[in-house]
Amino acid sequence: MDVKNNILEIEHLQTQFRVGRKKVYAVNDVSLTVKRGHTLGIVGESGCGKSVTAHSILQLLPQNGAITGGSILFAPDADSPVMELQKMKRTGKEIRAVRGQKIAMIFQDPLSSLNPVYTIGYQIMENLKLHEKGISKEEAKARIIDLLGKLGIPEPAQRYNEYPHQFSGGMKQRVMIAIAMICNPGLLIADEPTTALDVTIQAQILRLMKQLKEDFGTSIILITHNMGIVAEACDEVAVMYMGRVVESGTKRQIFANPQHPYTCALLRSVPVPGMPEDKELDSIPGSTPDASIRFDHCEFQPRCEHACGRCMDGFPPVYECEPGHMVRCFVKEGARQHD
Amino acid sequence: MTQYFIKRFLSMIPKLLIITMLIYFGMELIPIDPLTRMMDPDTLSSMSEAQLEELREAKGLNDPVVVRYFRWLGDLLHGELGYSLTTGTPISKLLAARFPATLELCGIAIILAGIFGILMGSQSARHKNTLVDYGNTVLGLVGTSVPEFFFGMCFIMLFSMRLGWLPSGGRMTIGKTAFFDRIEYMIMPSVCMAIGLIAYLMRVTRNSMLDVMHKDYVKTARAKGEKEGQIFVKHCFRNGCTPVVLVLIGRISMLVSGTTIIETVFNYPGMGMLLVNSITEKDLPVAMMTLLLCAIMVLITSFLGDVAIAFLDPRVRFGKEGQS
Repeated sequence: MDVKNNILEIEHLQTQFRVGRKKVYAVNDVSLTVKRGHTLGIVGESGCGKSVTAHSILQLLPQNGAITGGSILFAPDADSPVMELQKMKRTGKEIRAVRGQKIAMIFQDPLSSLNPVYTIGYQIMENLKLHEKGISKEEAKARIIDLLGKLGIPEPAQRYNEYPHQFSGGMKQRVMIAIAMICNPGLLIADEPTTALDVTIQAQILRLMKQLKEDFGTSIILITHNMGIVAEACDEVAVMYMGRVVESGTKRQIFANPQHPYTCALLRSVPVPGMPEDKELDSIPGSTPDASIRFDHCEFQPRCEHACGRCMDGFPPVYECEPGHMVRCFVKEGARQHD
Repeated sequence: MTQYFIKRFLSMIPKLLIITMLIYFGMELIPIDPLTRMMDPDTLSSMSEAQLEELREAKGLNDPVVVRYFRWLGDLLHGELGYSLTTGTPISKLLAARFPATLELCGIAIILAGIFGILMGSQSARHKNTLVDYGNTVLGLVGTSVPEFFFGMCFIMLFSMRLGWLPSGGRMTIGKTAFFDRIEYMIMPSVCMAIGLIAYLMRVTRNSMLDVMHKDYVKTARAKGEKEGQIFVKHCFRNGCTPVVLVLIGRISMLVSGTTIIETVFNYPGMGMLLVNSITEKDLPVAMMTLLLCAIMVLITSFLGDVAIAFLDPRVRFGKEGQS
C-alpha cells in the first residue's frame, strides 16, 4: 500500500448477502483508492453496490451480509501501521476504535439518523466521550458548541440542548456532520448525504463538505447517484455497475473522456440546462439484472450498445487507458492491462 | 412540560363527570327506594311512613333529577357513598377495606409483568430466531391463550395442596398483618394475573425492539463505535419502551376485570370479589360505587401513563409548538 499518498486502498473486495437460501452478490470485485485529502466519488444506479461497499469498510453490514474476499487497507497517517479492516470482527474492539474516531460515516436520511429522544448535544458528546476518554464535560461541551458554530448552526450554545425534531432537515444533516467530525477523523464516508434534502440545502451541505476537506484535511468518500454532485464535489470518480468498478479516474478523465459504455450512457442521461425542449433524454435500455444471478461474462453486456461476441467470452480485465484512468471493458483491449 | 401535565390533568375532569353521571343515572334506574341506600337501615326501620315522607322532602328526593345529581356529587366529594343494601354498612367503609388489597395485588402484578415482559421481550429481540426466542414465543402463546383462572387452579393444586408451600386463599393470617407477612398470600394471585400480561408485553416488546433495532439512528450509534450492549440499552431500549408503556397502561383496565376472576379463585377479599358478590346479591349501590372507583383508577393510571410517555419521549413533551 502506498501509505504516503493513500489513506484507504480497497482491493478486489467481495461482499455477499444471504437472503433465505439465495446468495446475493452485492459487491463482486471492487478496487478503490482514496488519496489523502481528496474526495472520491462513487456513482452508479441503485443496487449497484455503492452503499454496501461503504458499509463494508466499517463492517456495518447487516447480520446476513459478510465480506467474502479481498482486502481493505487503511492507514490513518503516513507513518502509522496499515490496518486490515476486512479482518476485524464486526463487533470487536479494534473496529470500534476505528469507527467514529478514524473513519466516520454519515447517512442518507438525516431525519431518521438521529435518535429522537436525546438532545443533539448528547448525541455528539456520545461520540467524543467514546474516543477521548479523559475529556471533561465542560471541555467537551465547549468543543461541540464550537464545532456546531463552524458548521453553520446559528446559536449553537442554545441548540446544544435541543432535540432533533426541533431542527430542519438541512440542520439535522449538519448535526450528523458534527457527530462525524467531532473526533476529527481522517476519512469521512458520506452515503448519499444530500439525497433526502432540498436542492438549495444540497448545495449548502456540499459546500460545507468541501470546506471541511480544506480546513481539516479530511479525505472523503462521497457516494451518490447524481452526476452533478460528482462534478461539483469530487476529485476522483469510480463508476460502479453490478458490484464492480467499471471505470475509475480523475474527475476530468471521466467527464471529458469517458471510455466505458456504461459511463457514457450515464453521462448522456443527465439533463443539461439549455438543451432543446423536444430533445429526449437518453436512457439505458433494460434494467439492472437480479443480483443473485452469477454472470460468467461482462454484466453490462445485455444492455450495452457496443456489445459484441467478444463480450460473452468471460469478464473483461481492467485496462489502463491513460495514467490513472482504468476501464473494465474490451473496447480498450490493447491498452495496458492492470492487475 | 408543566403546561402539558396541567392540560392532561384537567382533561380528566369532563371524563370523570361523564362517568359519575352514568353511574348516578344507573342508580336512579334501580327499582328501590333511594332512602334505603342513603340512610342507615336501623334508623329507617324505626320510622313511620309520615316520618319517611318528611325525610324524603328534607333530603330533597322530590327535587328534579339534575339537582339531585349535583347534590349526590357533592356528597360523593365528602366521602358519603351511601349504604349497602344487604349489610347496611357504609359503602365507604367497605371500599376502604377492599381497595388497598386490590391495589397491592394489581401493583405487584404490574411490576412483575413490566419486569419479566420487557426483559423477555428484549432478549427475544436481541436473539431473534434462536432457541431463546422460540422458547419465549411458546411461553408467550401459552400465557396468552390459557385463561388465568386455569393457572390459578393449577397453582392451588400444585403449590398449596401437593407441596403445601403457599396458602390457597385469603389475604392474611390472623395476628400477622404486616406487608411481608401478607406476601405469601399475594404470590399466587399476582403471578396468575401477571402471566397473561407478561406474555402480551413480551410480544409487544419484541416487535417494538426489532423495529427500533433496524432504525438508522442505531446504525449511527454503531458508526460512532459504541458497544453493542450500550447501543441496545441507550438507543434501542429507550425508544422501544414507549409503545410498551402505552400498552401496559392500556392493559391496566383489563387487570381490573382480571381481579374479579382471580380474587374469586383465590378467595381474596379485594374489590373484584366485592363487585362479584354485590352483583350476585343484587346489592347494586355497592356494585356501582365499586365500578366508579375502578373507573377513577383507570383514569388516574392513564394520566400517569401520559406523564411517563412525556418523560420518555421529548416530542410529546414539547408538543407541536416546539416544531421548527
